[in-house]
Amino acid sequence: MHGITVLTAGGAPKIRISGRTLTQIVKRIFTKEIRQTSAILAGESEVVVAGLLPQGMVPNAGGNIVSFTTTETSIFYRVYSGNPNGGAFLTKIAPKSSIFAQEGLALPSSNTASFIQRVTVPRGVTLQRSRALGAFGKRGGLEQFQILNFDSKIIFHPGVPLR
Amino acid sequence: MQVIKEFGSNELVYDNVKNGSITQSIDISDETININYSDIIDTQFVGGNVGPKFEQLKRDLNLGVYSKAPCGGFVNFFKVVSDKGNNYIVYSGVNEVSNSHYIVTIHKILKD
Repeated sequence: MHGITVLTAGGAPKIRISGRTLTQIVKRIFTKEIRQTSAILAGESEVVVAGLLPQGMVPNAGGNIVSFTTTETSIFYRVYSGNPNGGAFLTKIAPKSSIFAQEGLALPSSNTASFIQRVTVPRGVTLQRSRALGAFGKRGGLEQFQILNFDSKIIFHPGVPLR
Repeated sequence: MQVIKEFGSNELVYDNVKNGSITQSIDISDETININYSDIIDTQFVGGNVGPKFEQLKRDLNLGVYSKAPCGGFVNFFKVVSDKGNNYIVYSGVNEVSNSHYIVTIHKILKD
């Protein structure tokens, strides 16, 4: 039985969630964190990471991470080399060169950023703004916008070569 | 629509940065279907290659308008033809975990 109970009799209110006090809940969270940290130190990082993130997930977002929903139609950019049909990661400013995009957006070798396309994002699409974290030997650091909800009205325009 | 086969969350997972082969064969009783993960990734923003059937398939699987696949990725329905000429639909989730790094998780094989 899940529920929030507030007991007010006899002094300060005591809040219970699913029958547990807030102190008990916080203790459980910290115990789990300590167990996971201990496992990392013991060299079981793979097991621990699997417990924290879904399989294959890697942290990609740094800096000031902000999620927002577009209130008007906006233009973004996407770099690619193989798939012109769309992807979840966009930039607000067009990268100035292919190498700059590869490094700044921390792209894997499968994306050489040889093309750039405009992307029309309608109102009502939720995006997450962040700075690309370094990955695949690339430094990252550029501002990126990740599309969080699928919307068939997002338009990926034909690409043009990016040098 | 009929669910022919279901897979566990970590059973059929493709990572375009780690995995070498982009194809996968799946046996369905006495026939085989071949999946090309690259084709699935290329259609992540149109939900696969089933066209207007996309919404109907989502309803059949009790997925909401904004639902994601069980893996957390965008829902993808990809029609494939088996070695015996029968049509199947591969239900998967496409997760772009960082820019151009894709994880595809196959969830179900469906038959019309």
